Amino acid sequence: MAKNAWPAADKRDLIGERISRLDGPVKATGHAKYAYDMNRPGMLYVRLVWAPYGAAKIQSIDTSAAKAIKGVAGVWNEMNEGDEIVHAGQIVATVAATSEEIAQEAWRAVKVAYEVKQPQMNDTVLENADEKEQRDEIPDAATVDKAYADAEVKIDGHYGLAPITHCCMEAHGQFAEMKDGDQYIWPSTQNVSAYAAGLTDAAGLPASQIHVDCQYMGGGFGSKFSSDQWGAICSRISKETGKPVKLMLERDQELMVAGARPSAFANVKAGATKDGKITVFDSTCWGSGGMGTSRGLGVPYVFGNVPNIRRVARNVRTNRGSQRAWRAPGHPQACLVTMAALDDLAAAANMDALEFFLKNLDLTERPDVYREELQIAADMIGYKEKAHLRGDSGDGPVKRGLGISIHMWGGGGHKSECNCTINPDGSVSVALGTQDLGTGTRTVVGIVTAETLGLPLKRVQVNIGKDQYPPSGASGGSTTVGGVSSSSRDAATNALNMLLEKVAPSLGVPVDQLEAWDGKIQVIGDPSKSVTWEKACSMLGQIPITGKGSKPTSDGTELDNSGVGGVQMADVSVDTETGRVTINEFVAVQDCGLIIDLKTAESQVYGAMIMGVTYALYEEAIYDPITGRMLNADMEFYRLAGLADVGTLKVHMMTGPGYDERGVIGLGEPPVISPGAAISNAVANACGVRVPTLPLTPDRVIAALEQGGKLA
Amino acid sequence: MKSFEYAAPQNLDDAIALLASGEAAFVLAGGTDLVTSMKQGIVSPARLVSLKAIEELKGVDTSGDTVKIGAMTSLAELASNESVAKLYPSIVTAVNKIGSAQIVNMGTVGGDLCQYPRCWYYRNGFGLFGMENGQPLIPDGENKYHAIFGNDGPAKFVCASSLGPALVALGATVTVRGADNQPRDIPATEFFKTPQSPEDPLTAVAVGEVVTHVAIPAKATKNATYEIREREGLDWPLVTATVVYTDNGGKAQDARVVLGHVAPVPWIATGAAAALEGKAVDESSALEAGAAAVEGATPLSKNGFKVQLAKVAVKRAALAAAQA
Amino acid sequence: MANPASDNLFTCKHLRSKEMYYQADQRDGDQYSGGAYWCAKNHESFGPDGGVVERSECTPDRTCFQE
Repeated sequence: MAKNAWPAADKRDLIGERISRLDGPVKATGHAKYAYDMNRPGMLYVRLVWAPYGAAKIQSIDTSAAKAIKGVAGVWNEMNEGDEIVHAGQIVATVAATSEEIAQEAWRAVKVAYEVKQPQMNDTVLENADEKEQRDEIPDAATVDKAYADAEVKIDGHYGLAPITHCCMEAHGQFAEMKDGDQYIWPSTQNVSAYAAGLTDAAGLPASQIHVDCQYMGGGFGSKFSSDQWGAICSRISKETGKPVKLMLERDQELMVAGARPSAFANVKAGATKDGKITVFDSTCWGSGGMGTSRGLGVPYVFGNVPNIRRVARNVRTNRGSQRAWRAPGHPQACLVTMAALDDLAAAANMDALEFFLKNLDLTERPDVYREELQIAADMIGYKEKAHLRGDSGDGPVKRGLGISIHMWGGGGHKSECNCTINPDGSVSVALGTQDLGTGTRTVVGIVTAETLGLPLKRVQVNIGKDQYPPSGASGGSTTVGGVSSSSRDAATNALNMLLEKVAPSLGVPVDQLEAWDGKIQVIGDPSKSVTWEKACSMLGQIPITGKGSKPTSDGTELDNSGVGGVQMADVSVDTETGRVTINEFVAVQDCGLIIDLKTAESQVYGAMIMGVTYALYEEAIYDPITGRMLNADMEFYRLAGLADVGTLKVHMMTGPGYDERGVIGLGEPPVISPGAAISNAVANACGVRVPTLPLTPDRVIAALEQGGKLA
Repeated sequence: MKSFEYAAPQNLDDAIALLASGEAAFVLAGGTDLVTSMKQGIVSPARLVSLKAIEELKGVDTSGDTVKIGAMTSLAELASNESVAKLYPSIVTAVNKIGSAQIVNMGTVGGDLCQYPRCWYYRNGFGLFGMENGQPLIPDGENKYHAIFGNDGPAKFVCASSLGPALVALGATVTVRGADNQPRDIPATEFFKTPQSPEDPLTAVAVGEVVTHVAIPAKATKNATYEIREREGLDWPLVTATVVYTDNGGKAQDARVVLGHVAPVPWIATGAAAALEGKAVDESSALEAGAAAVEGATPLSKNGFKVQLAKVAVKRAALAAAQA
Repeated sequence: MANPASDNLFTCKHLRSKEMYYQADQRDGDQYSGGAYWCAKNHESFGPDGGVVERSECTPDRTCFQE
């Protein structure tokens, strides 16, 4: 019997190798069809009329001119006279037309009158927070106060991160089509298996009659779990008109309403002994996720065993688009607040930051992992040669510095089911209702299945992205790789065992002495007693077999795990005359248990680092304080890093003994947590002052330099 | 976008005739500004007159005592011209710093001069002065990219032209032609206008006129542009400075300093030029020029940092010119 | 800090969080990673009544509550 447990290192042919994405060629050549690429004869194009104010009351909606335009299939009010607008971008009306141009013309012809009100846009000051607070004091208030009063070294700092958006390359939206009474949906989603359930009211159909297909998608980052209001509108119009309907958000609305990472600000009092042991971390945090809540931050982050902790959390409601989970929700914010405060504490103690972090690792859950990762990262970036105490960075206006940050994540696998079918002709397919966000999920499923069956990767047909396949969890929380690798391993193992039963008599050995290896079914370790894969499959007769797998696995074997740590170090230059920050080198060291595909794992980390440089240096959603409009809802002033901005990136994945045997752990989120903190710390190390708030734009850097008397 | 007429005349006379229908007819050059503005509904021309097919508006002529650049010469062609590169490093830097191969390849010299501001209030439909129901939004709003000079009127935006500051500093002349078919020369110093009312134009080009070419004195000068921006990829400058002077035995003569992206027009920093005049251009005089350049700056609530940037840009441009 | 993942039998049927779509049984969510709740009625972080969407807030005393 083949076992579910992952094969030992010497029995891995594919797992852990650097393998290119299965869908790389179709993506690179433009053959991959995204929701945006769907077109059908007679289709309708939809445009959403959105509110241009942060706070207003709708006085009237006049759709008559729009309805009169030839080619307009319909205009619908999504809100009504008297309704309150609480953030710009809210959908007021919808137009559908036979061409994109007519839809746009009609969109402009819808006239909405507003009674404009003063929005609340400022989240930077605690005075704007709601009264309600969350408060934790460990062990108690008096002890925390005393610990700070008694601390030999102390800081009292302010830190923050501006609100940013998800800015997915592929905007949100979907394509819908009716056929034989059912509705077919091509969405851009992180949640294939559960997507249809969100459309039942709009389509007037049960989920069983709504069929979802998302083969490729251009990024979600936590913003594409729901079918959303625009998905519902698209489904409703398709059902109502009977026509195929395309509804993709325009870039401006995408940036206003389709995903925001809440801002975070904190006042931190932290203390340590004079030799650098952290004794107290006392924080008041606030932030805004629009008109909803923004939860408090888990600080001190990673160093959760600091003996004296106070956490006060408040929420600021602002007239901005609703927050959504943004790649590692809450973690980049908690990480910046903690690592920046601790780095300031190290500077106050006149200590090298690396020495300070190493000294306090016993306050973390995984000191040995962090120690090993810190040492590797230090070697990669040349820490010893480059390190200097804060601000001690020589003459000339351009100062160079190093910064460190460490982070953690869970990453256990989600629930998943999977079918693996072996056909009598030897062909193999594996099917599950997961989705590939561009991360390599399709490839991982293929690798696991091929490895299990002893076949080359190209022999496995991977079927994902449709809700007709066995359900698999949404891609969030870095849970996908653990879920799909467990369930596909389980399914392939069960299918293989069914095959081995058929083959065993011909080789004259019991089933438990057979293995699949190198395109053959053979007696374990003895290729001379074997049959080819094709011959083995022919023994199935005329009927294919399907092995069913799941996470948790059918025999209870744990193939995944949870809990990773990572270290990042940045080497930056700061022009102290212009406030420009540039990245010289940026290194990441990350563990994630057993790696299925080293290439796509490394790519995940590179991508996260680029995203991290972007939010550390450039990204910020900027709103007009009077109208509440997002002013940079475009890709001109909503800046993303380009290749020339990211410096030299280096990635090291922790693999081998001590890591591989833990099983598979998710990787999507952890490497995007530390960049803001590492880069902020490097800037402080370079120029001698803390620039409190990300992104570290020239205006902020100059203001901090000026305040610290360091402006060149 | 709204439906419109499209004309692609083969010669300048036809183009001018096609533009005679008035304000609703727009000149289409590279389209990098106009087409996006149309898509956003900021402008809705009834007619576009494309100049793309008009050969007489293209190319760089270095045969005379001026370098004559056709208005439809692409920015890429301009920057790669050998004579331009030799005589005007300040122009080459201004073009290369645009940072987008698409804009540099599609964008034209005339289009660069006539493009509209990137002010995000303007681009969001609040008009050139950033008004909502009669209330100006910019003074108390998000003005970190706005003007620190010449901003006492309703216009707070900064001129978007990449070439403008260098052309003003180099003493260029812009030639236009209108319905009378007579060429009209406009010194670059008088080309850009600060509007006082929403109807005022941004340049000296009248309705119905076409920019035909730009002429720069073909004279050996020391010149350089220094640009400060947020990121390396496609981005707009926070501040630029162009410094031009004639090297007279190691001393600066006829010095000119022009700042970009600090005012509704390229901003001539007379004080900075005076600080360089007659002196060796070195760290000390460059520093003085930088300080002089920002005297009298009137930053808004959030763009005080641009004063520092302007000071540094002038200093670095002067030092770069000295090494050119 | 209270663990938001603790079950509340009286939360509204329209309450959503991403964890609902992937969390495996018997494995606690990261208590700080949550907080991004939305209402399935309007897909916003505030409900049809304008109040915030939160596991602890979407209770029967809200006018928009549905069992």
